[in-house]
Amino acid sequence: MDRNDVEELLGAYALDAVDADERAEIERYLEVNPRARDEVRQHREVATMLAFSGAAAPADLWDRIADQLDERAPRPGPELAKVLPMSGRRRWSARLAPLAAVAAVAAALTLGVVALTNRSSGGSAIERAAAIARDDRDSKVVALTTDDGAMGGEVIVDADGHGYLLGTGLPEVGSDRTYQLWGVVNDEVISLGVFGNHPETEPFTVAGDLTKLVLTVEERGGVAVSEQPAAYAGDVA
Amino acid sequence: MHEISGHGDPTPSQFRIDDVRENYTAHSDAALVIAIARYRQGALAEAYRRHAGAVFGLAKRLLGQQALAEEVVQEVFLRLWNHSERFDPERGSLRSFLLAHTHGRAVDMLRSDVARRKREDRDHRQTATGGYDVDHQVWDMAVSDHVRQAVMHLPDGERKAIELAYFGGKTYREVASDLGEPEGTIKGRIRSGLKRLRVELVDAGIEIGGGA
Repeated sequence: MDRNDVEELLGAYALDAVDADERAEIERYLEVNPRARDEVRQHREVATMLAFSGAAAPADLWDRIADQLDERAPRPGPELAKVLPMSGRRRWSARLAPLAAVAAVAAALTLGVVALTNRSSGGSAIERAAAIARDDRDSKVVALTTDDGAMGGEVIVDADGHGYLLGTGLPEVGSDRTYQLWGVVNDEVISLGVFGNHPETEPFTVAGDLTKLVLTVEERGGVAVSEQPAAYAGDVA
Repeated sequence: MHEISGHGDPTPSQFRIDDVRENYTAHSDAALVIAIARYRQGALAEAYRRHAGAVFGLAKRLLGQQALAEEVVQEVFLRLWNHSERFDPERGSLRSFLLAHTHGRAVDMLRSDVARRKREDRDHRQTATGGYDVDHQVWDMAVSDHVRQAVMHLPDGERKAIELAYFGGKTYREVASDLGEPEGTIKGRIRSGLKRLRVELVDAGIEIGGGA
């Protein structure tokens, strides 16, 4: 399908009225096209109005759902983590320390942060999405630097909370190590993602008031609690 | 924020809607989802109280069977419990989010072999009822008068295409086949119809999204 074909199918897609292969193609298109995503959102909102019903759900259905909640509740994983106080050598560590004392795994979930562990760049679609975000005047571009001011990479966060770590400027670390990105969001320190030993363009998602970004080098797989100094950091203007 | 966890560590059976409603009734949907992300069952109960009727109504309309509709309702709310981070309040209301999942899941079931067999069994048992008459039953729903009027203002071709796609669970190709129209015409009508309907609803002063 070309672009016009995909555009013409946005209404049908919003109503789940496309075939599986078409759905996959449209979703790839939506990944890099915020305007199309917004159109689908609007179509679905209209459908919501059509679906409205004053009917009540069966009385005992909630009980059946509630009985399954404890078994199904996912436990916080290492990718959603707090940062404990780090080395005092780094200028930002003193600021993070008191926050880390109150940061909690559950809080990370509350903030709606989705961490992506060891994700590859996903090819050119992610790079295009990052380029679009960079061109958006509402996006924030944060330079990650060392204490000495050396550049190590950039982070772009668009107005919808879609973030991209541009890590091509980062030195490759050993295969048993990984870069891990942390953010201060609503005064909580949380993990934003574990991006491997040689990041390229890596997506993540964040919700809330993001004020600072810190990149650490951790053991492969990432950590729940970092005790490493910041390799790179940047303030979000 | 009121939090259930401060009351001890109750078992799931202790959480009932009437027990916890008071704690969360004043919360916005977005705040409810934040609490759900903290595994506050009371918040999920409140979300259920607000939206389960719409979720169940849509699932029942699509699937035609109470048991299947209940299965969808369970899946939708358990998914909200397990993946609350997928809800972005800036991208629409919680009701819209839940109903989108409801519709998608119900359509998947409709198109699955299992659901087809069940529907065939049901149709076999209920031959006397004549099955699901989209033209005459699909709009017999509890939408507000304003919404109904807006829908009726759509050109027939657009309205029928949306009806069959949304409430019939059909692909646009199937809709085209049913109506004897080219596929390109149908996908265009669905899109233009949704856009037109949105304008009609906005002009009627209806807040689109259906939030609680």
